[in-house]
Amino acid sequence: MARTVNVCIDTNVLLGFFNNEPDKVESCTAFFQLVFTKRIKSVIASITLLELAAILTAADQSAEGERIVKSIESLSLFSIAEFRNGWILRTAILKKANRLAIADAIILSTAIETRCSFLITFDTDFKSVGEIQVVTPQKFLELQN
Amino acid sequence: MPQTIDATYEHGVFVPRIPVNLPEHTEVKLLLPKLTAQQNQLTKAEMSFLALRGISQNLAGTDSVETQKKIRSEWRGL
Repeated sequence: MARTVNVCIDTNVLLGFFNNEPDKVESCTAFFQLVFTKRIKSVIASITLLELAAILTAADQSAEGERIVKSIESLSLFSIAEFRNGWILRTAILKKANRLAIADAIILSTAIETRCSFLITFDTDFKSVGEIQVVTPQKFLELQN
Repeated sequence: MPQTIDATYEHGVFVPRIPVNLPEHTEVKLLLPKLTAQQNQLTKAEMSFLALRGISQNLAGTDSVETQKKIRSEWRGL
């Protein structure tokens, strides 16, 4: 039986969409539309919500940050994954093996522990690990079409 | 015995296809069809999410990957 496709969405994908970044927004929009129409379960690490809120608050856009967080929380296809104690040792190993920042390691660990097939990110610091494919939104669209 | 009727969902209201003889405010049970992906129907929450595209535009000029790296750099050294 084919494995269900679940994706973990990194902060920069959401930020590229909310920030209307010319080189990212179209592929991000198409990606989210695909997620919604194909009913693809998506995981968002709680640290991602914190990063979005912190970045927008630092830019004096806390109201926009609140709208974004509430919108993400309201989506039934999106699961907010809190970091669990049982993931600590694997995260430490991932951090060392992949020379990641600790927050990057938390994102990758969250993707693995929540059994995602893909980590969606523009960040080239990430490399595919085990069963997790690290791809951009555009690459994910190509793989699904 | 319960009666089954067809209805259409329009503008947030279920409209029976045939007249029904029920007292006002009678509560009924509805059997809803399972929506498939092929129907491409987005929920209100999903449409609201998509409408937030560009909400933080005055961060324009910043790159989301660089912004992410910057905030995550605060964790480096751990």
